[in-house]
Amino acid sequence: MRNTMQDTSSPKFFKKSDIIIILLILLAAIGFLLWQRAMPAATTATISIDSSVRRTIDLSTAKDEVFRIDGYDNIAFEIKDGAIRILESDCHDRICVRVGFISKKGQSAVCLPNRTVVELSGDGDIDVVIS
Amino acid sequence: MPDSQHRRRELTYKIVLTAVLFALAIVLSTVENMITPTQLFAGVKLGLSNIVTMYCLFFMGVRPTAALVILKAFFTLLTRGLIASMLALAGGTFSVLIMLLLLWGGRGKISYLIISIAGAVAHNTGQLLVASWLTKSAYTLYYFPILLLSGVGAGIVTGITLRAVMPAIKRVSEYRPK
Repeated sequence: MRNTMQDTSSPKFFKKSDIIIILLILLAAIGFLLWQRAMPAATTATISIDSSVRRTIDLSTAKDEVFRIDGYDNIAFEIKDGAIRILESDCHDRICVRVGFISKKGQSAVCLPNRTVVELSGDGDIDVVIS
Repeated sequence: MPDSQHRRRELTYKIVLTAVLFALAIVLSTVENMITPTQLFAGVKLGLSNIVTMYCLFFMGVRPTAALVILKAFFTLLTRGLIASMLALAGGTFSVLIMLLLLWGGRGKISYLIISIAGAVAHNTGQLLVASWLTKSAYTLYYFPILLLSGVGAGIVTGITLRAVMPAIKRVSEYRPK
C-alpha cells in the first residue's frame, strides 16, 4: 500500500487545529442559515417545469387551494396562509415534498426527477414604504 | 519469480480488491437507504459508502478510486435512474478531486478528519451544482447551508468510522503478492 494512517510521512488522523477549522465552517453555515431566516416573507411564487415558467402566484393575495398544472398531473401543489408546498409527487425520493411549506423570499422546493421548481421571490429590495 | 508474472499478480490483486470495495460500497449505500429516516431534511444523508471511497483513495491510489466512482454511478443508473446517477457521479467526482487536492497540496499536513469533512462537503456541493444546472435555477443553492452542516457531520462520522475499521480492512494486504 502506498501509505498508511500509521506512517509518519502521511497525514495524522486528527490535529488540535482541526477543531478551529470545523468551528469556522459551522459558524459560517449557521450565519448563512440565520441570514436566510431573516429574509422577509415572499410575495411571488413561480412554478417552473422543464425550465419554463408555468404559473406565477401572488402569495399575499392567493386563496388556499390545492392545484395541479395542466399536462403535469404527476405533481400537486398546495397554497395555505401565504405559504406554498409541493403536496405530492410521483418521484422516487420525494425530497420536494419533504421540504414542506415555504414562505420566505429566496426559498425553493425542487423536484429533480420531474424537473419542477417552485421559487419564491420578494418585490425588489424595498423594506419599508412610508406614505 | 519473473518480473512480468509478479506484475500480473499485483494487477489481479488490485482488480479483486477494487471489486470487493465496490461490493462493500453498494451494500453500505443500500443499508443507508434503509435506515435513513424519511422525515429528515431534504437530501441529508450520511454517505456511508464514502468510507470505501476514502479507503480506496488513501491506500490504493487514483485509478481504482476513479473506477469505483464510475461503477457506483453506473449502479445508481441501473437502480435509481438517470438523474440520481448524474448526481452520484458529480458528487463522487467533485469529492475525490477535492480530497486529492488536500492530500497532495497539503503535503501530509492536513489531517484525515479534515480531508473526510472536505470530501463530504464537496460531495454535497457537486450534487447541488448539478441540481442547479438541471433545473436552471440558482435557487437550489438555498440548500447550501443545510448541506454544509450535514457535510461536516457526515464527514466526521465517516472519517471516524474509517479510522475504526482500518485494522480490519488492512488485513487484506496479507494477500498482496510478495
